[in-house]
Amino acid sequence: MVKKILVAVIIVAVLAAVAFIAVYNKPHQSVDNVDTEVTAIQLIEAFDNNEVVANETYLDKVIEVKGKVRQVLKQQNSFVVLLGDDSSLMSGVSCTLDNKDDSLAYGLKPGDELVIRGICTGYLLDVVLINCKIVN
Amino acid sequence: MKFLLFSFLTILFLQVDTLNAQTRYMDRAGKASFFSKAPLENIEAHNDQVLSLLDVEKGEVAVSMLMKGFQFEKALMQEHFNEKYIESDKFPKATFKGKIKDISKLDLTKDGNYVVDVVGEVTIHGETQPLETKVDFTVKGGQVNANSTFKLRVKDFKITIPTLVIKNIAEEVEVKISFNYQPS
Repeated sequence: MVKKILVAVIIVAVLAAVAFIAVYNKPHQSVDNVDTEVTAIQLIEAFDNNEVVANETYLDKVIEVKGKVRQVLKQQNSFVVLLGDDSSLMSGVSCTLDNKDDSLAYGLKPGDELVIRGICTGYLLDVVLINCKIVN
Repeated sequence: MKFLLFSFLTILFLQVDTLNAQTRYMDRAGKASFFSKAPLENIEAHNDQVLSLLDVEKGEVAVSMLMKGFQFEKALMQEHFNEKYIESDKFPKATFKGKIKDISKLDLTKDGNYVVDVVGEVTIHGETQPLETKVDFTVKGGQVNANSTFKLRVKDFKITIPTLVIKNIAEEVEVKISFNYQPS
């Protein structure tokens, strides 16, 4: 009887530990499923016109943005790609690349057409996306 | 003669242009990171899309960042940071506005290393607190880098941490910022 209880306790403890580890190590939000597709210019204009409304539409969503590369900024441990026309618009779409895509960043030039997927975190001067993957 | 005058004017305008450009600087992809050292776990997060404006003429600095732009090693930490502690939906941005105290010491047109005192106000989680810190400027070949490290107390910003996880999060968090300014 004592043995059975002991076995039960051990099983529960192991299950709890497994569950704890699974939650503790849960993966980052994936960008595999796209919520919205948009062009860089459309995205910038949406935030420029009304940040509150744009936040409701795009914040925390996985968005796929199509646009021209304006600048590629090398950081200490990541790359930030700025999308948007180099025209009158001061703002752009700022995308921090996932480290797995770093090798692709070296080949990027201003003017290149690019499709990038990432999670929208809001608007400063630029619309900001994180965990970005280059799709095309 | 006309050509000469034209050239002269062009040179003059270009110079005026560069003179203007050199008083205002911007970095739209600055870096901010913080480190919390606690008995149970160390927590580190970084944000690579921090916006900063520097006006050398006025001696003013402004910094703005999105709290959701902080990336953690563990997704769970990131979730707790945004939902429970910082409440990013309510307070999406952290900002700093300040002045460089000894602006005359700083000459961004000359290569060198300049350490200046910056004093201002930082707003996180809707709470504004004074902040004074040393900022280390390095100018080399037209590149302007600025770095600073300072400590912030979690309590000062009314960020409440449940007692259950209090051993996981330090009371004082070390913040590092780094900018690479471009003339704007």
